[in-house]
Amino acid sequence: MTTRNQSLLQRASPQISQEYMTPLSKDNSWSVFRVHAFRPSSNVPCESEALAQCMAEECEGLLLALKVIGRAMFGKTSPEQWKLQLKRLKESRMQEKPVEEVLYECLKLGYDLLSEDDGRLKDCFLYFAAFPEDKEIHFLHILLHWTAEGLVPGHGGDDPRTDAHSLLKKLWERSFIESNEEVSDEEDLLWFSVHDVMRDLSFYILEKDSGAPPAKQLYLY
Amino acid sequence: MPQSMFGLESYVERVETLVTSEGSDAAPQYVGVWGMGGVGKTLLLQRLYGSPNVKGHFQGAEFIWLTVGQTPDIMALYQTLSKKMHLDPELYMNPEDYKRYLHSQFIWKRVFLVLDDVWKDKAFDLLHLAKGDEVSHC
Repeated sequence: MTTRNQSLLQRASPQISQEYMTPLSKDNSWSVFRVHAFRPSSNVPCESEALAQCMAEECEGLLLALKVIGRAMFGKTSPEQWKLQLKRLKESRMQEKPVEEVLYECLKLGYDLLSEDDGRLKDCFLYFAAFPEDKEIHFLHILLHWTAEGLVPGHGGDDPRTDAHSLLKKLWERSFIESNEEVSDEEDLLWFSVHDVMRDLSFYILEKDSGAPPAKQLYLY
Repeated sequence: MPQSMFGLESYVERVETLVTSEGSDAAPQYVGVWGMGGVGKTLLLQRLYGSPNVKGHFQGAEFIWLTVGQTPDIMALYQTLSKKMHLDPELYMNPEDYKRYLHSQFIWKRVFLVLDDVWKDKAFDLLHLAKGDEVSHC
């Protein structure tokens, strides 16, 4: 069983063996961040390295944040870009916030950067909030909903199927959604799900945007 | 894209030892992993779930993963559990009846059950389905 709350474990069973996971050390954080932000074969460009290390530190040793922020920064070569995003990350972390919100604020930068790639990716990600959290959702199911919502054009231009596939692949590459396997071209074999923290992030964003908590149990399945 | 494992291996090894060092009394074993959101708890259990050592130790057991979450729908979780145990998921409409039924089914099975992201004590009903029987929990 996993939980964020230790007292819950003791109430669950007196014989339970406990394992506490600490956030990653500074060195390990950097190793994780590096893998996700830069091509494994290439050296980290030295003008960005110090900035990237600062960014990794801002992730507070949280694996998910390191992964999402790292992947969001993948392919950014100019030090100006790094400077700008580091500043944004630091600013979002400045306000006094409860511990859990620190993580969401951090991940929100990754979310904001989605639109640099494709303006629809943010909405595509938020769409997953409509599915129950433990559900694996089939590619065709997502395609159907996205087409109905007009997220993928249903006529002319791109084939909606190819379009949806490429959007899902982008979300997957950025760790916003998980998949049953490497996102290949065999669309019919693909199932997707959302990590519970990423799902909470979508609610956090929806709540911030609308000012009201969304109904968490209004499922679309 | 490579899956990084930095710092995670030692946790996987420790928890693997915990779940595979079964007592002789065949009582269910409970292992709880706790830590901040995003620290890697789900990833740790995903690794454990797919580990050849764990698969070997729990040969013949049903492997079941349930994501519980902040607002668990116990009936939906019972139904998922039933489906994974190849039982009719629509058999009972009432949670208490469902619980008794699943409990009786658990007696005959070895189960490796993961409850991911638990927030409420209400989810313990799932954990205690196996009380006193030969079942391992994680």
